[in-house]
Amino acid sequence: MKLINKTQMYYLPLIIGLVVIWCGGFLWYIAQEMDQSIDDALENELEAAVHELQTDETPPDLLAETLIFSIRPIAELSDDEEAFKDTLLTDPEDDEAEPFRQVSTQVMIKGNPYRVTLRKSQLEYEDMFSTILIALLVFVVLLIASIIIINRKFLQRIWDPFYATLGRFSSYQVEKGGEVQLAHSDIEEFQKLNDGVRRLLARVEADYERLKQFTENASHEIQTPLSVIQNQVELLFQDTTLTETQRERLGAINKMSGRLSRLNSALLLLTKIDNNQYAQQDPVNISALISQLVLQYRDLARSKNITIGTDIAPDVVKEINPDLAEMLFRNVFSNAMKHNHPNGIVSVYLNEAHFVISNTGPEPAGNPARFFDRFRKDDSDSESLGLGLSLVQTIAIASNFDVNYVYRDEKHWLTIRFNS
Amino acid sequence: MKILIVEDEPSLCESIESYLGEDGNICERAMDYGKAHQKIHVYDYDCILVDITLPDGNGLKLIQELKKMKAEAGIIIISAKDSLDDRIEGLDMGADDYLTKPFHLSELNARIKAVERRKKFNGEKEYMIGELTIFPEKKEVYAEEEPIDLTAKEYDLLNYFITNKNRVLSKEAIAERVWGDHYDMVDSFDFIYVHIRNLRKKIEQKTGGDPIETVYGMGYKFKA
Repeated sequence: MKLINKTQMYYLPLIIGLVVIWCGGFLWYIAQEMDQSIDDALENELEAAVHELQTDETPPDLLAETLIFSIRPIAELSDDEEAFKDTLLTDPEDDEAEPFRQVSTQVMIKGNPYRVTLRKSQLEYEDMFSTILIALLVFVVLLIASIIIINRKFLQRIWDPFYATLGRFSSYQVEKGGEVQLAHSDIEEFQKLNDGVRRLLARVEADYERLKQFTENASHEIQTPLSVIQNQVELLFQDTTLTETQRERLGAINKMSGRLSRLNSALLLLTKIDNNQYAQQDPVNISALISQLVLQYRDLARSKNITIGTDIAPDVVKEINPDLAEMLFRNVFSNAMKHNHPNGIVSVYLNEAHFVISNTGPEPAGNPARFFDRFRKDDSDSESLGLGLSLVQTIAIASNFDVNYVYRDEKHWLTIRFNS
Repeated sequence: MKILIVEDEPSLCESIESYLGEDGNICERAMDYGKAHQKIHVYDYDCILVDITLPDGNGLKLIQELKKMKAEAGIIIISAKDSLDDRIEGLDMGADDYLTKPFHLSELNARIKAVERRKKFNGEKEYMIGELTIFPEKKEVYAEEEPIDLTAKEYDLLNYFITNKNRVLSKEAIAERVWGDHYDMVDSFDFIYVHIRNLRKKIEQKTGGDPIETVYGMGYKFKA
């Protein structure tokens, strides 16, 4: 959830609740006042009417009863005082029940007791009340809407530098490097945040740089002793007086030093790609490259009796470093051969959008998401350096391609999508 | 052949000398730029192996110097730096080949011989070994008068064996030679085996003998 939404989620219910309570109180007060003013008016009118009745010549019995006035003779004056009351009466004209407020009192007119009742229609007051209610509702809705909008604007403006920093931060890639420009802010907290981020990035970059340097230097330094070991072993190979056990031991040393040497070159290569030493990109005819590799790998395929099927669109040209392109596809082919079984199948497909290679082979153990990790190995293939797929991924990233691996229908599927 | 090794690592010099010396080559060492500079001005060499990173200078400058002197020597760069730029720069300056450390001595030997053949005979001279005659420019092999039909890889393999005749070649060295130094390709040993078997069969068919000996635990040897 976004910060702005979260903030609003906290205070909006509170504001709405408060506004509802205030409005309720306001309406209750208005209603009270209205009732009071009706009652006051009725009381005054009643007083005037009673006065008129007491002074008038006309006998009260002859006065007509109307909706708003009635006078009835009663047996005798009782104790009850003049009383206000709400009532519903039907207007004979439109035959509808209307709310009335009435007041009645007992009076002696010319020696006879009477009950006089005055009524006032509450209809217009109700109309007025609903008008006020609607006005109030509109006001409340507008108020809340304005609060939301104003708040959003303010929050956005205030948090703007934060989001700018966040954006820079999340699009930051240490291997790409480059200076991260953080937006200036006059808010102290954000200044501190930016300072912290800057320091952190500088440190990460320095560490990364050191690590890269170290790997490259270490790899270089390892080359010479490795050469010496390999060459000495090679010289020993020529010794005809060696026993069979000694030869076997030498063979093992040679094999391992060879492996160490390949491992070292692969690591060096990975570091160099990370160091952008293969940044130079040229248009490479991928179709031609793959066709050529297929031709080369047919030899290897024959020895394992593997069938290579191809569907290669002609003249697919992509911007990539030519050396990396060759390494990328060579590794992909090697993988398809290596993790295959005798009499297996390799299928190669290429079009403008992507390259797909699938091969038969046993299902790999472990989590496919980690197959691109360096030195990941499954037990079945301890000879593998565990760098092939990692190299593929590193080259793909450097060349702005996407790599995807799945195991489906008893086949390994590796897809390289060209983004351009 | 007279070969100058310009390399600052003594044990590397020693092993190169030892391997190349067995073929009757005369090897000299220069452990730094100054010595190498001196030597190339005083003596003539058939081949010069140059390490690029030297304690007191850059091996590439030595190549420039040699070219200025119009020296006839073949030049092979041996470098720990497998950088494309260095490779291109070195070859542009007139080096004949470029080999990255670590390398197999048999590979170095093959490269030296290839450079020698290119320099001396323009790659055209045929040579004989046992009952086989090799025509390098056409990449053809004859047993007596009869051609042996070899694939490109088999020819390459045979050529590698012959340049390192009577030496034990490790499977790794052969794999790298035939397959190129590609990573993570240990599987290719099966492939090497298949190629060697085919090569043996073809030679045996024509000559009746098998010059390739399997050295248990190590690799193969071409007897001549």
